[in-house]
Amino acid sequence: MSAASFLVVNARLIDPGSGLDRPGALWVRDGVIAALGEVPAVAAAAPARVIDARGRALLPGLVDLGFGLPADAADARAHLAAAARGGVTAVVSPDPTRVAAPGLPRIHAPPAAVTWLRPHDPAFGAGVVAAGAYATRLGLAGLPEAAEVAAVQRVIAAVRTGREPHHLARLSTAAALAQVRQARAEGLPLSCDIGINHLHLTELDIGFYDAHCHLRPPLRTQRDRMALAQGLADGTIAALVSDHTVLGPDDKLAPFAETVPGAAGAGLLFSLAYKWARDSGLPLARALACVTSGPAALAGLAGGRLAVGAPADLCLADLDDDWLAPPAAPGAGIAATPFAGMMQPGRVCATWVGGHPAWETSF
Amino acid sequence: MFNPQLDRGGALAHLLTTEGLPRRLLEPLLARAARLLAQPAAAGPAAPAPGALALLADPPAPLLHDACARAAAQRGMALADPGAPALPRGRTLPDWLGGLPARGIGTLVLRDRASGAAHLAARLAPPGLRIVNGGDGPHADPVAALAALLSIQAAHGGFTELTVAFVGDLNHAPAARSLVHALTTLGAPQLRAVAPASLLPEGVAALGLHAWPDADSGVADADVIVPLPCVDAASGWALTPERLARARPGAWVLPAPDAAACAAVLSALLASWQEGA
Repeated sequence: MSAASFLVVNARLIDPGSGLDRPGALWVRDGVIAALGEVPAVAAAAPARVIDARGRALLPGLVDLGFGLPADAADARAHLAAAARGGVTAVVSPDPTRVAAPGLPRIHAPPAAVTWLRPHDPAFGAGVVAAGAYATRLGLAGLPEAAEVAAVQRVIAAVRTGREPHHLARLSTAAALAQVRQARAEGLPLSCDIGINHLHLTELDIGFYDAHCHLRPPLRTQRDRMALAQGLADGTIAALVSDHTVLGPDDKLAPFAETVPGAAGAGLLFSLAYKWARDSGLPLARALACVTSGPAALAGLAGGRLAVGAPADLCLADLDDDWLAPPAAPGAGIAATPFAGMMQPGRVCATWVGGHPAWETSF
Repeated sequence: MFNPQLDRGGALAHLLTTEGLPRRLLEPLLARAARLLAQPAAAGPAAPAPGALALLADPPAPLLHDACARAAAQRGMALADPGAPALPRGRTLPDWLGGLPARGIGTLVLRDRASGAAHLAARLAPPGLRIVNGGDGPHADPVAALAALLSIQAAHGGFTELTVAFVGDLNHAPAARSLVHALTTLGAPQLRAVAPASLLPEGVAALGLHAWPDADSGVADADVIVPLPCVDAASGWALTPERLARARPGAWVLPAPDAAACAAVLSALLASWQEGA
């Protein structure tokens, strides 16, 4: 029996892909899920590690479709380790860095068969916040929603003509989402995702020039946020992503418009998906599908599900525990998130990648 | 709601913007500045005061420099060199701000090209350092706005019965934007943004302004006319002598801010902080 073999008992098994949500056990043998549901006799008899997960939920490891990686390999490992602390076992990153190490989340490039892009039309200027009354109030250049809508319109026209699948990364507006919904209703091969910040925050969260809320696309109105949440709940939006951005120590220490857009998101994906489920009353398995089976299917990955034969990419979480996102000291890039210093629901106790521990804490 | 320019006791810790500046702070500050403007020579303390004043202006601002020099002299304070051409960016910023009190600087008047620069400096300011926003890009210029309030008060006696017409581009007029917020707080009943639609700020109503798409009627029955930049004479929106001649008797065009009024505002601010220290 290798290190990548263990038995988890008394867990709340949640498999968003199949809708499974019931107590049970899960047996990992040689990095693969060998059995789940009841404790198999062979596992019970074997001298493997047995983890009593009473009171905790065992779910597929999270698949993060939007995760920026630094070029330096050691730095990249630190960012991946931070992601693992939030239950992530696979990331899709456009960055060329490849860090292969056991016990770290897997890195995948966007699928080659799908055109993967961020919808933004630069003709609408270089606004740093959503155009509107709040931008006026702050004296900051506004980016109109038309910058996203025009880009999405062009993509839809291209998909309609060529029938080649496209993925729109990081939608932010209700208007663009409405177009995507209509295109999907026509049967066009179009998918999209949104970031955790846009699911939970609006332009008002910028407050008094909080540079952690300088994002691209910019945070928008409450109406947009509600539309995105609805789109995520009804499946129009296939994935919720951390949109983790690599930030240097200087990047957020400047007046708002001069800061580098983006925010750290490593380690937050599970808690913010769970918070959304809790706040909206959505069934937990349905919400978690947006960070597991949904993105795995989009990226063509084998993970994101609890099934016999699937890789043992797993996340064990205490749903009743809260944790504090570390306050962001000035210049702290990896903690530079709008959620810094806030309590987050749902604590990830352990993350396994291929059965190897990527993160384990007391449980 | 958290207000970054107030301390936990609700007193003014920094002067960053007139937006959300409570009336209970604004009115005494104005009253004191008016007294100092009337009698600047009689205002100074007997002994030199600790805590120098420094001005960091990028781009350079001669009028603001003059005002700072006058205010420092009135308060018995030194006018110190901030030691940098512009507000540093990046990791050096917290260290640079943190070093100012050790160099004897207690108040930093900051003019910067970027909106939010003063808020950033205030957020990172160490204990013992106060930030005064001397203009942050197109966002705000509360010192100039308070100086304008002194002029309006001197001309009209108060603010509660005024119709004020801002004529031109408010997007690039920080002093006027700050004046809008202050006049709203002080109860001016009607503020007009008189400009073509292309120059009106988005969400102008949220600023407390009535969008007024006609220059003649916008100016005609106003008590105070605030000329703003960027109105092309050829566009038909300029404040021509003919248009002003059609304004009602007693209508008054706000003059450009002068150093004496800005100095009175700064001096009143410094005096209140000296008393509270």
